[in-house]
Amino acid sequence: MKRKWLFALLLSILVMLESGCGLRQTETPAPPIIPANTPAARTPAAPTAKPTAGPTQAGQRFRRPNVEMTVLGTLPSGVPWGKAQGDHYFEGDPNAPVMLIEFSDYQ
Amino acid sequence: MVHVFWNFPLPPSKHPQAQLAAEAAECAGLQGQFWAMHDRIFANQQAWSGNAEALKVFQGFAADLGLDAGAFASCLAEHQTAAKINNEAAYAQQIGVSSTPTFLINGQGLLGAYPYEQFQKVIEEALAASQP
Repeated sequence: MKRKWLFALLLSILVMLESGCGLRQTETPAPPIIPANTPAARTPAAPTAKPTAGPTQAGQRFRRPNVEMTVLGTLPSGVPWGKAQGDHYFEGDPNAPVMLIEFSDYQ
Repeated sequence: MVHVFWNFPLPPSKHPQAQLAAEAAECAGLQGQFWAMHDRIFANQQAWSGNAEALKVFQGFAADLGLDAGAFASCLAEHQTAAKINNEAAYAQQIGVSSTPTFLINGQGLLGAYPYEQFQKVIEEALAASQP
């Protein structure tokens, strides 16, 4: 009787491990989107600037990324523009308390 | 507020000319005119989206902006900015971005083309949260 109980316990632990049960912390990220017509994309270098929070991360609400920003000029509207860490273009006051990062294409 | 643009062209199967448009903006950026080209591409989307001659349209934009036509054409032909764009897209996907547009406002995600009022609300909340 005791051996049957132990067997059932071991079996349930194995099932929990196999199903994940919140224990798997590292998932392989999905492959990056790399258009096939761009040869340079075959060996992408790691980006140097990363936002401190992703849209799916919890507990990061309203935390402004600490990113180096270099002003390179002024737009006709008088708004400064330049490059943020990681070679991203920005427009606006680099010291503003709110940073909006737009992930977008043009189409 | 400061606005940072992060390239995330969707695959050609979904947005056939998104990569070319991104390269056009980045190539203009090499001549100091990223935002001017960015704005022009968005404002005249109907002129190039779905147009097999989109390349010529972008070259026209470059001419309007007074860019060096030869350098702009070479930049596009040689895909000089493709690696940068693809790196950005790859990393965006790794952090969970899967659609356009996606916005992060001080880390708060806003997925999709929301009305102005929604942006205003989130930005004002972010501003209030940033006060000591």
